[in-house]
Amino acid sequence: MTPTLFALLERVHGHLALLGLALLMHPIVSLMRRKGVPWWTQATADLAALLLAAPFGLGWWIYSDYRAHVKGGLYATKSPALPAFETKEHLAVFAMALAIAGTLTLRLAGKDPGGRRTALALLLSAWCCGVVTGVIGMWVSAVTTHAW
Amino acid sequence: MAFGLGTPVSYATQRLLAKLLLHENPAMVVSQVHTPFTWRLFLSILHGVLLGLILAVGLSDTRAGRVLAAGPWIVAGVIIPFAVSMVMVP
Repeated sequence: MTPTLFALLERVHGHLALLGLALLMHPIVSLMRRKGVPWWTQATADLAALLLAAPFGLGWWIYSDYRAHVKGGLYATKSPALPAFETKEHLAVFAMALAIAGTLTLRLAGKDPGGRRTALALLLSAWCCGVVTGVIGMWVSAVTTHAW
Repeated sequence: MAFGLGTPVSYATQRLLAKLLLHENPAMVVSQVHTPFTWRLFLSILHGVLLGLILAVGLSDTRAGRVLAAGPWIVAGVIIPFAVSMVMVP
């Protein structure tokens, strides 16, 4: 993979994840304010989970190039971005799994008040993990751009 | 819910056990490609799916309802400690 393609995919990965996080706000706010689950709440939850899973997959795909070309530079300079980047990866796994679980819980148990509350807790946890992931990602991205 | 809790818990447990038991050489991390992360990721997803299937088959509707009623507390109680335990873990 060329540095240009890596940088392009890295940006697509980040922007899609940001879009997914923004969309995830809709079912969270909707579940906090409404008693039922309208179809558009389920639709945005599904789409948000998809929009978080897709950049996660893209991130996994470019991860090998990151380790091969970027991580060495960070390791050599003892950059604090190195452990922070791995924290980002760990929390991204959390966010992806929680978002998928939240939308599945909403779909399978959305008629039950407990199911809706659990789905809200899962989606809110996914959003929190995703936001921390995004903030670390922006910081690490600013550092790693120069490390290739 | 089982998938949402099983996958992160499995992932974090694998990473923490690897950190505690394997005595990794940080310099070797650079020479690895993405095998450890990929294995950890796919194993944790497999664990989450299996846990979900086992609970879907084994848990009655009444018990599932009780679990879902306590769902937010279970999610917070499980996810927060494991998420915090992952901070600055390489």
